[in-house]
Amino acid sequence: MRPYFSGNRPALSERAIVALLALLAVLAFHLGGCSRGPASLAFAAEPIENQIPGLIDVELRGFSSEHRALGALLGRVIEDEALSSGTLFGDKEFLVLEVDPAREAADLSLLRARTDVIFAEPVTRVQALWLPNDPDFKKQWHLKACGAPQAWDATRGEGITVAVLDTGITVFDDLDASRMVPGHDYVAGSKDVHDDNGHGTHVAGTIAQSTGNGLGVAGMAPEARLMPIKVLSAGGSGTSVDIADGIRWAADHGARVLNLSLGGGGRSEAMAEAVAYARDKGCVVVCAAGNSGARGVSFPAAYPGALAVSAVGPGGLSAPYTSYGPEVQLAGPGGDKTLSEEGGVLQQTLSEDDPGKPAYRWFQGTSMATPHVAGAAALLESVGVTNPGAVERLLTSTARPPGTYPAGSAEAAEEGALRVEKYGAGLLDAQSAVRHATLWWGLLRLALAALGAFFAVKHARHLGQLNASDKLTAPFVLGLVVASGALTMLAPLGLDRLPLLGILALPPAGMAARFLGLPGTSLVASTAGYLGWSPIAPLLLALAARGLAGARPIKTALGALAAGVAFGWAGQLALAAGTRSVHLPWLPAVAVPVFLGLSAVIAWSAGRGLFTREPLR
Amino acid sequence: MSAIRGKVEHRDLEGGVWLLVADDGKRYTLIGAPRELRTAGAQVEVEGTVDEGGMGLAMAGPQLHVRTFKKI
Repeated sequence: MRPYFSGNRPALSERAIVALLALLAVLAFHLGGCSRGPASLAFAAEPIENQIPGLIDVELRGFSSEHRALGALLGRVIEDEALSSGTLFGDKEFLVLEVDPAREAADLSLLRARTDVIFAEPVTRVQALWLPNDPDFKKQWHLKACGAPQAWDATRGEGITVAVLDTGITVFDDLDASRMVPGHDYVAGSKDVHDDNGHGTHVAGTIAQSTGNGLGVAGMAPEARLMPIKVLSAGGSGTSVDIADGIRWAADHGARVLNLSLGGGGRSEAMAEAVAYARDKGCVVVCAAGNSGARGVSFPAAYPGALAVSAVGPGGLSAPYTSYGPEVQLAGPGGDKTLSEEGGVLQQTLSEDDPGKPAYRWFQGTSMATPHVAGAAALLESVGVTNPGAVERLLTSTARPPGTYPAGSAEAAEEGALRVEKYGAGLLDAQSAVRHATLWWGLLRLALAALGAFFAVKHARHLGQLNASDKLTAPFVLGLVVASGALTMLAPLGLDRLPLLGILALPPAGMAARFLGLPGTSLVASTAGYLGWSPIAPLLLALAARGLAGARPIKTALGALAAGVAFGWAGQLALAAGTRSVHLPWLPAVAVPVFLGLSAVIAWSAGRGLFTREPLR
Repeated sequence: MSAIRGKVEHRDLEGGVWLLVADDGKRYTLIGAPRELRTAGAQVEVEGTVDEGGMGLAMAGPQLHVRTFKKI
C-alpha cells in the first residue's frame, strides 16, 4: 500500500491543524486557571461586571422630600419607593437614579458619604438563564454577589454531600427532607441531630436551601445533600474531641465537603489530625476564620488542610468582626449589619420567639461566609473536580479583588500585607470557578483528545494503515466528544439542566459518581470512580471491536466508535493528570497524576490499535 | 471555678451572642446563660469555669460556662 506521505514534510493543512490545536490547548490551559497564581498578585480596581452604566440604586433612612430633591440634583429619579419596615428597622426610601455615566463614580462616593444613605450601588444585570422563583431571593445580595445564579446554569451541586458540623439541622418547609442524609449526634443530653439553637439550620440553609420551590429564599448548592453532625450544644459550645470525632465520621460516611462554622482558640492535636484525615480522604474542609475582629485565625481554620474563610459585607469589604491572618485563603459574604439589617445573610432558621417555628432571619458572622464557600466547593465537586487541592486552587485562582461586590463602598479596601491577611486570594466568585471547571476544562479535554487522535491518524497513515481518502466517521467523532467529557463546556449554557443530556455534560467518572456517589456506598462509588479514571472501559471496548470487526476495525462503525471513545478517554485522563483535579481513594495523592498519565497512554494505545489488527510496528 | 464581675453585653453575631465584659476589660462568651442573665447592660457577678480555648459558634474569645450568677 502506498504511504500517504510521499515525503517527510507534512502537508501545510496538517501543520495548520496541529498549530491550531496546540494554541487551543495553551489558551484553555491558561484560561483554565492552571497556570495562574493566587489572584492576590493581581489586585486592581476593576469595574464591576455587568454594570448598567448610569444607573444607581440608593436606599435612604426615613421619608423626605429632600431625598427626591437630592436625586433630581444628581440626575433623573426613575423610581421612588417608600418602604415601611415596621418599628424594628424604621422607614426607608428607595430611589433609582439615572445619572451621567461619566460622573457615576463621583456621584456614588458623594451618596455614600451622606449619613442618611444606607447604601448606594450601581445597578447590575444578573445574566443567568434561570433565576429562582423564591420570593425573597431578591434580598439575598450575598448569593448574587458571589455569582451563585450564573453557576446554577451549569450545576446545582447534584450528588454531593455536605456535612454541617454545627448545632444540628431542623428541617422546616424551605429545606428538602429528601436531600437530608443520616448524620450523627455527639452532644451529651441531646437525643438527635435536630437544631436547638438556630445556628446550624441557618448555615445549612446557605448551603442548600430549597431553591426554585416558590418559597422563601435560595441556597448556594440547592441540589446538594446535607449531613447534620451535631457537635455544638443548644448554648453554642462543644468540645474539640467531639468536633474531631465528627470530622472523621463525616469523612467516613460519604461527605465530600465539610462545613465548620465554629472555632476557638485552643489548639488540639486530635482536631488537627482529624482535619488531615478528612483531607486525605478527599474532603474539602471549609472553616470560619473567627469573629474576634482582630488578627489571629481560630482553630480549626488555622490547621493545615483547612480552607479558612474570612467575612466581607455587601460591598466586598472586610466585615468589622472578622478575624484575619496569614491562614485566611478566601473571603466570603458573611454580612455586615452596621448600616442596615439587610446587610446580613438571609436564610430560614428557628424563630427567635418560638424555636418550634421557622423564621427568615438575617445573621452575620464568619459562620455565614463559610457555607457560601462550602456550597461553591459542592458545585465544583458535582462537575467532577474531586481533589480538595484542585477545588481550593480553582476557588482561590478565580477569586475577585476586594471591594468588588456590587453594593460597593465609599471606603477603599486595605492594601499590602493586611489585604492578603484579610481577604486571602480575594472574594469568592462561584460563577467564575464553575465556568473554569466546565467551559475551559471541557475545551481543553476536547483539544487534548483531538490532538491524540490527530497524531494516531497521522502515524497510521505514515505506516500505510489508513488511506488518505478515509474520512472521519460520525461514530468516531461521537465517541471522542462524549468520552472526553468535552460536553461539560456546554454546562454553563444549561446542558446539565436538560433531562438525560445532563449526564453527558460530565467526564465519565463524574457521570458514575453523580449517580452512584451516595453516602454509605463508598465502595461502589470509588469502583465507579476507578472505572472512569482508568483505561479499563475503553480498553475492553477496543478489544471487543478488534475481536468482532475485520482486518481494519476502524472502518466499521463499532471500531470507529471504540477508537473515538479511546482517544476521548485519553484526553480526559490527560487533563485530569495535568490539573490534578481528581481524588482517587485507594491511591496516595502523589501517585494519582502518574496513574492518570499512564492510563491516558494506555487508552490512546487502545485506540491506536484499532487502525489495523496487525501488531503495531 | 472562678467568679467574674462585669457587664452583660449582647452582640449581633451568629444570630446573637451574650458576652460578659469583665471589669478588667476582658471579654468572655457566656455559655449556658439563663434567660435572667441575658439582659444587656446588667452588672453581674458570674460564677463558672473559664475555658480559654473553648470551641463554639461565637469564635470571639474565651468561654465562661455559667454555673450561678447574681446581679450587683
